[in-house]
Amino acid sequence: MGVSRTKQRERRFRINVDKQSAFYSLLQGIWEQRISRVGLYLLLGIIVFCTIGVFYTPYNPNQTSFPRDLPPSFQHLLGTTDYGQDVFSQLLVGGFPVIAVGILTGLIGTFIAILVGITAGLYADTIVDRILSGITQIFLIIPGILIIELIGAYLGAISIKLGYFVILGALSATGWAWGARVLRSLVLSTRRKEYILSSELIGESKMNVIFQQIIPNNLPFIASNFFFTAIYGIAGLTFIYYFGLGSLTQVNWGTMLYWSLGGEAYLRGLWWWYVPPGLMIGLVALSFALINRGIDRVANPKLREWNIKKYYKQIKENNGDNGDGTGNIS
Amino acid sequence: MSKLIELIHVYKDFIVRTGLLRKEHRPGIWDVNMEIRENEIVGMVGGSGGGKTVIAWMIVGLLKPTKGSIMYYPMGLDVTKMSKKELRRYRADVNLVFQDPYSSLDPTHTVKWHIERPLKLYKYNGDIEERVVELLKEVSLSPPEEFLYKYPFQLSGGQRQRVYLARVLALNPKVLVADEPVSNVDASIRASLLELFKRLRDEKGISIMYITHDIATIGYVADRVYVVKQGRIVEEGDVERVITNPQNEYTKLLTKVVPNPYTRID
Amino acid sequence: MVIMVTEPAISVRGLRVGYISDSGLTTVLRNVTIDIPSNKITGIAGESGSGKSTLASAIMKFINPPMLVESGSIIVDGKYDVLSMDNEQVNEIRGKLISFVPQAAQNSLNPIRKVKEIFFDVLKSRGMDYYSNINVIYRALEDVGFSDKQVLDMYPFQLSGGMRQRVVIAVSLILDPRIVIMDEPTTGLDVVVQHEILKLIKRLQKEKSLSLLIISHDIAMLFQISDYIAVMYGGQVLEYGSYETLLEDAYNPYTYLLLHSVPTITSRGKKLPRIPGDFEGFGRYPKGCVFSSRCPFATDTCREVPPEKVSYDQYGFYICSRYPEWKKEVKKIYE
Repeated sequence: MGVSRTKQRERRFRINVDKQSAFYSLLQGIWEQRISRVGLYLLLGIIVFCTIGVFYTPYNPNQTSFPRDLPPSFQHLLGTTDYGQDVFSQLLVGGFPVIAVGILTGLIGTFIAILVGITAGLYADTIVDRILSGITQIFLIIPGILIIELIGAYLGAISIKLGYFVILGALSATGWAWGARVLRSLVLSTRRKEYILSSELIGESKMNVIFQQIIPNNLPFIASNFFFTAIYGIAGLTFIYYFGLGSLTQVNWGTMLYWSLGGEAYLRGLWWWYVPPGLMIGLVALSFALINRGIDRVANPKLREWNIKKYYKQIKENNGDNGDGTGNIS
Repeated sequence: MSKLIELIHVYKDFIVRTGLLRKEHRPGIWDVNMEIRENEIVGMVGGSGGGKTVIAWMIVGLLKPTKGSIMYYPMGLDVTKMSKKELRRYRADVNLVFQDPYSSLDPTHTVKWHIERPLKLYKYNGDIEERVVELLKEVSLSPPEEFLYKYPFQLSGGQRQRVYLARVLALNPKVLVADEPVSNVDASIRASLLELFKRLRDEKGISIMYITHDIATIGYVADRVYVVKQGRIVEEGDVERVITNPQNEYTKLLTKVVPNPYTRID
Repeated sequence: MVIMVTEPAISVRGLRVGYISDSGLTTVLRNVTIDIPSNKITGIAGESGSGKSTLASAIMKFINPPMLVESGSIIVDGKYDVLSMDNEQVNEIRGKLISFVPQAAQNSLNPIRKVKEIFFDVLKSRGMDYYSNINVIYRALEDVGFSDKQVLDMYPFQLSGGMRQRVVIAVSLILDPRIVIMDEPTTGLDVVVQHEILKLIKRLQKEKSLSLLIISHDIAMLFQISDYIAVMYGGQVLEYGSYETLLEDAYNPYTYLLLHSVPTITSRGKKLPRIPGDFEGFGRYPKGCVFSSRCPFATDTCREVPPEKVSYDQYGFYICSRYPEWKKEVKKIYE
């Protein structure tokens, strides 16, 4: 009994460290690319920064009692606003909602994309596919952020401001269509592959085929779609707040930009007010884009760049070792 | 020898778009009568586009013929009229081996996964891992333990084709329909794969329909042969007779053009 | 007939080519030295992973990362040192002196370009005008067996596989090259069509006295049309010589095994020899002879010491340290 149990445990352990599985090799590929590793470090740094902001800020970010328009100093690392708030404290606090909404939009949007895209792809050329594809097309041509702003502006007129959850819902609802469209065509090409046909012949259920074969085989695209949708979420949230359609008492990078616009920071040269939040948003988007670039290169090795010079050097050294040119290079 | 599968007056039309709105029915398979008997390797040979794959797909129920029936005698049923459940049971008996071993195995799964899935689906009682090892031995992949956790990209073409055979053999089939199983495999491996087919026939009593464009390999492994040209059977019979004394012009042509190192082209 | 000592069309010396991957540099071609004779058909036979396509790319200087040349030289037509020329200079001779028909070219024709436009593009890339060279195109089409000119106005999908392959061959010959390299020219074609294309290739070679290099995994087909055959395995040429020599009296056991393990129309009832195992890949390269791990005649010496290359005439050579002893043991493999 004991022996068979350890054997079983061993087996389970083996599956856990399976270094060739689709998920693991994608992670490894992302990690090995210098470009996406830089992106990961950057993202990690930003997340740490924003998480600190949840628990600690030098000053209360809503406090308006400081002298106005102070340039950066040791007291106020990034100066103060026209309303007498500490910019650095606001920057610390204002990151978390942006990142959270971005990542959640990425997750929900990708989930909807998987659901719609795979169903449409598997039931291609049936009524199900036609309905789903039709809906996808409609959502594709809707300019999501503009529609949200339109609705937000209307609600704003009757003094209802959009909250985080409403915005998250709206962004997820408008951000999935592109992914669904591409995923549908990927599924269409995957399911004609012989290994899928073979599973059908052997009697696998459709669900098994989807979860064990179609999703793992399209994992790079799904991962890339997640980051792409997350960028959309972050940009969308910032836009909505920038135009003042969200609740303006909430402190985030979007409202910071809104208030700096209201305080005419651009005209008065108060760069410490509007540059930091803008820069942070840019950095988040940059980190996602860098990771995406890495995923691209994992999925398509042709995009990879090789350091040829290094190898020529190695060859020269090796040729020096054994002049006959038959030595092995390892 | 009794019949296992019989194709009776099978026709298959294809719908071809000839214009924006016009469609045309073109005959793909025309009045094919064919049988697979117990314990034999039956060859089907013909040029590309002749409908060999279409016939193979109809036999395993992936395509439905326009007209005619395909009888499977052990179950006493017509494949074209089977329900989903019956088709599932039928495919445990009759399954397909694909041409390209590079695309018939899922790149994201191990050898073990490929072979244990059919065992799990048909509720094999017994130690699944032991059975997987046994199946790997059966297809001469040794040592089997070394292959269990390998991925397709770590295997050569011949090894992949063996893994695929093990996957299908896990179902305990009575008939295998092998569609060009050695065409994409290196020449040095080809002979031993063909030997494996012969062994499956002799030791396990599995009937094999061996489909190929290469009449030379038909001569080497098959007992009987059907020569297919443009969806019709133009000649059939004992392999020995067909190869040494072909009657049909097309069969004569095939035996003439098959690559043979001992006949020069000038 | 005047006997001429012809200069080789292509002369490869000590060529080493590798590929870069995450795990480092893997050498594929190891010290390949071979002369391709002029006005003859030379076949390069090899299975997957033998390095035959890499050799062709190196000769055409289609060298892009992760592929890189470690050492060696390739002299084309006695005067062009391809590897030390820059890309523009090589472009000058590509198509005009030496042209290349890539693998499955018939299936990679641009589907939205008419055949005429394909010719147009090729001529334009050489700074030539389509309309003033229309007669050249007509002649090229006639050469490959198109009697009417209608084909020029057709799209690739309207042509059969064999016709597409004829178009590809016509395109590759349009600038009148003297050397043509064909990578798997018959793969994916119907058996009957394949035979016709082979006859066409043979006829064109004779008419235009081309130096033809054909790369294929189909050893039976190569023996049907080649004058010289090189057998590659694991990035090395194991044996090279005239087809009669290889067919009747191979020096290297791999040639013999490869030739005899392929079923032919007459092999019914005969027992075919088998080559045990699989090519191990370039990662685990053996110390001695590259084929030693699969060779039924291999001794410990074979596995430890790399065999010497033995040349026996201007072109022919083999590497095998057990020739001629293995010939006496040949019965062993049929047991």
